[in-house]
Amino acid sequence: MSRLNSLKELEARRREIIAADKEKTAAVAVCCGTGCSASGARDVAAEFERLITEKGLAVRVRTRITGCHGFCEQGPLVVVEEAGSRPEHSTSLNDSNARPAGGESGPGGLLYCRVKPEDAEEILETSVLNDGVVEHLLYKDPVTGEKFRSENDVPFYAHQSRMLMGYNGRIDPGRIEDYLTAGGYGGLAQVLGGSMPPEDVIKEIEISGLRGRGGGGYPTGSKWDLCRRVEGEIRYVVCNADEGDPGCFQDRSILEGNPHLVLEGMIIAAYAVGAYEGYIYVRAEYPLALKQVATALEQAYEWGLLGDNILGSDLSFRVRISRGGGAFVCGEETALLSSIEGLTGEPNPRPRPPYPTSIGLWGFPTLINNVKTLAAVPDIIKKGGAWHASTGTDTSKGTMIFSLTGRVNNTGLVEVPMGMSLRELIFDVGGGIPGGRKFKAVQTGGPAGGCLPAEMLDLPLDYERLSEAGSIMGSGGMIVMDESTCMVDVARYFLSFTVDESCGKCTPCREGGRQMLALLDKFVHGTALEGGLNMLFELAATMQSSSLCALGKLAPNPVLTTLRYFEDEYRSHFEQWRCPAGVCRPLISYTIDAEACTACGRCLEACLAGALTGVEDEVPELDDQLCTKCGACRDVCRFSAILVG
Amino acid sequence: MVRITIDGLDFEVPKGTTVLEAARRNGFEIPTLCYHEALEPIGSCRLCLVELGGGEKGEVVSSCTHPVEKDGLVVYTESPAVLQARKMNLSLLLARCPGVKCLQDLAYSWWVDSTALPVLGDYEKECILCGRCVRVCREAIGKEAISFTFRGVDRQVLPPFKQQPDDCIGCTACAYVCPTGAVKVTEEEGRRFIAPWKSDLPLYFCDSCEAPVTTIENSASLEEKIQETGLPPGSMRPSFKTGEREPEGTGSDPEINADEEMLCPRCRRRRVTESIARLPREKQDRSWIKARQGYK
Ligand SMILES: Cc1cc2nc3c(=O)[nH]c(=O)nc-3n(C[C@H](O)[C@H](O)[C@H](O)COP(=O)(O)O)c2cc1C
Ligand code: SF4
Ligand code: FES
Repeated sequence: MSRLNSLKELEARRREIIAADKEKTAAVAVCCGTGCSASGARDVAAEFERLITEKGLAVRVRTRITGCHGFCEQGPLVVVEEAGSRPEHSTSLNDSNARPAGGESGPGGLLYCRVKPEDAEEILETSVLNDGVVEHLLYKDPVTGEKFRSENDVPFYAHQSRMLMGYNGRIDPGRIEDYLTAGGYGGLAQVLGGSMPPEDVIKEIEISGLRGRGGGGYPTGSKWDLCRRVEGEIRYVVCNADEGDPGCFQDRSILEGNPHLVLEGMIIAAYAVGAYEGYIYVRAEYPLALKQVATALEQAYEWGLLGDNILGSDLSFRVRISRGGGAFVCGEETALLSSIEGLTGEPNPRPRPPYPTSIGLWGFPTLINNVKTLAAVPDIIKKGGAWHASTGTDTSKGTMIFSLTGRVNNTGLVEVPMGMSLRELIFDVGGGIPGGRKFKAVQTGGPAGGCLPAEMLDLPLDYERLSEAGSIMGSGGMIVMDESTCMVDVARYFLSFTVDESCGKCTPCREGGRQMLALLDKFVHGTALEGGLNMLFELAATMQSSSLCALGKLAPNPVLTTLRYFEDEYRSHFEQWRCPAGVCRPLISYTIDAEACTACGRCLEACLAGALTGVEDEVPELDDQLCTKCGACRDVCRFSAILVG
Repeated sequence: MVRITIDGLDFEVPKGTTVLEAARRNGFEIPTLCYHEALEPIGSCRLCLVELGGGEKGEVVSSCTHPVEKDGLVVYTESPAVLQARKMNLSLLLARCPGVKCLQDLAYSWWVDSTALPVLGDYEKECILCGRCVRVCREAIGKEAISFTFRGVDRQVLPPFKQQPDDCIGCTACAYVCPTGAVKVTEEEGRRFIAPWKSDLPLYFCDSCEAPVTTIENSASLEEKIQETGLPPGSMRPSFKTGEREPEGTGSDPEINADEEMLCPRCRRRRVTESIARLPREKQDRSWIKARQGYK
């Protein structure tokens, strides 16, 4: 494809692509995000392509390999759309509403879950060539058993507001053409059109109320303004795609599913702050994201959307990829900059101010933004800051993508408006707790976030409310726990992650973290003393106040919040030597309920430690000395006769 | 000059000095471990904490890395939050290296109970990871024989691949700046050993008094460095030339054709004095003396 030298040419190209696609009246979108690929989506996509070629349908039907739709648990996902339902036809550069059918607009296609390659033929015959529905592949509510046809009716999607993720299902990330037909690079065209000087762009971002999605929540408009105001010729824009929180894959999904969205955001940011060079810092463990970003960069250079004189304007901007080695702390901005510079990825003790916006990469002013922050930019430009600000709470605007995991029915990536309550998120979007168990707590903000109890379920998701409650928004981790979880064990688990990931530079985080961990071990073993609680607070206070970077400052959060909301549970670990949730092995023992036991003998086979002995038709005997409390017997018992206490 | 208020007293300090320097210069006592006046501060031990008051509310920062940039900075060197964190950090370091003298001394003077926390390190270990050795090697000597390796509690100072570092010249600057004595230097049978880095380098001996002087690599490196300062070549070389020197100002190297003797600094000084004193004044080579006068 040739270079585009003006905005007119961009518009013409967009029309060309739409016209070329006119013939295709239906589309089959196969999600090949990392989650669906792991459950075999690539084979499904290949089968569709083979069938379509074989049947000579290529003129009418197109297969689209898309990025993550968020509902990975039900993958591989296949969406069948009809051309009429696609918004391309109304799309033009001036149409500020140009956007793909996301969760909140457009009818959405037929959603098929857990599709196998052998289902491809049936789907083609029934739903693509005819108007039928393949019933057995529809999503079925695990609780009510109700079936849903369209993507937008599924409760998981119905409560979401997919401003960023909505694009993923409609775009083949390897095709810049798809992004263009979805209105892509419209924001860039608008700022380059001459009517928006950089100050206006920044103003618009300020109006939008967008705040950093990387965890800190710093107002993005002010950050851009700070960077722009620093004197000097050289500035950098860095996209932080390090995403180290375990279980989080929002940034990854956006980069894998729609890399041009982030790229467009970066180019607009470069225009606004006056940068000529940028870096995308992606961790090397994300091979697909790296590949898609590399492809997107190549296409953008080829089309003249990157490089010198972008779209014939005065703006020149180059983007390079920097691979991260996968250390959690490298997501911290000063560590990230060290890592890009080729030094050890350790936080620098630069007192702040100056922030990286004035002294950053190689000493030059540097704008660092998270993937989601940058991805929100193009639509803010297209639709205006006020549009973005109309969603959310007083202080937190727009949407936030959470990675919902743990003991909920629907796990996956969910994008909801700021201000939604935890209850709505967990029970409406997440579909509640499986197995009829009770909700106990939710950890928000990743391992350095806080654990909130059931009393906090009505808390609106908002930067300020969360930090008042002792937690953080972080990068959107959301781990739901039910009553079978021991809060001491959970705090210990999260802390062990941050202790492992600490860079070890400063005393409070390195030594304080391991002291705290050792103390929590005592609780778990029932050997803690009353003073242990106090010591936990003291250690936490030291880490919070004197650690060098936010990793150490935030690391005590899970311990502090569990202490705040579940102190009784800590106490019973050392006062009664009892783990109320029945988790901490040193404090529990197994017994057999002779009433419930039917002497079926299943547990005898399951026990690998040889702790259970018994003869036919008799309640087995349990040897406490040999029992390793692995729980295998409890898992196989069909009569709930194994008691833990 | 900018104004700063330390514990309620007002001072004027040059712009850009760190809070630590400003406080120490005016008689306030702030303990430090990773700070060294010859090195770039890294703020890792977290003992030099102070609390910033006034504008920035109640933030605890490391004074060794915090510059005084503008008027009106208010700092407290012994606020409750500072003392709490400082003492705890000291306890934490003691729990890592209970046997280290400088930590025990600090604990004594700051009323820290050195048994407050269980020992999680071991009694043998003496490295508190202040990184002074790493920095002196890189910043002052211009070598990179050692660096930090591994992460978290596994962090250690090591030479590359735990092998004798090619970069090491045996200058022992690392041992000199180490506050705990973790860097052990021994000299045996004409070689110098720096234990933690596995360095093993030959020494040279003074031709006159036969005392061991330093490693050959170190004297070569010193010579290189001294040339950058503008002193005449050979000024810092341990050798002393016994041959006739060419008159000053001819630009030729006076050392050529000279019989070389390897001398220790003391013997060298003695020989210089003797040789100068023996000659009539107009024949004396005063180039070193002149060059030294111009060099601060
Ligand atoms: C330990 C630690 C890890 C972090 N990890 C990430 C990360 O993975 N991704 C990210 O965008 N920001 C991360 N941050 C936040 C960044 O330092 C920085 O605030 C952010 O990239 C700024 O972008 P924003 O303003 O768009 O949020 C991390 C911070 C800390 C202290
Ligand atoms: S707080 Fe932890 S991660 Fe941050 S610099 Fe200190 S040791 Fe490293
Ligand atoms: S002396 Fe300032 S942190 Fe160590």
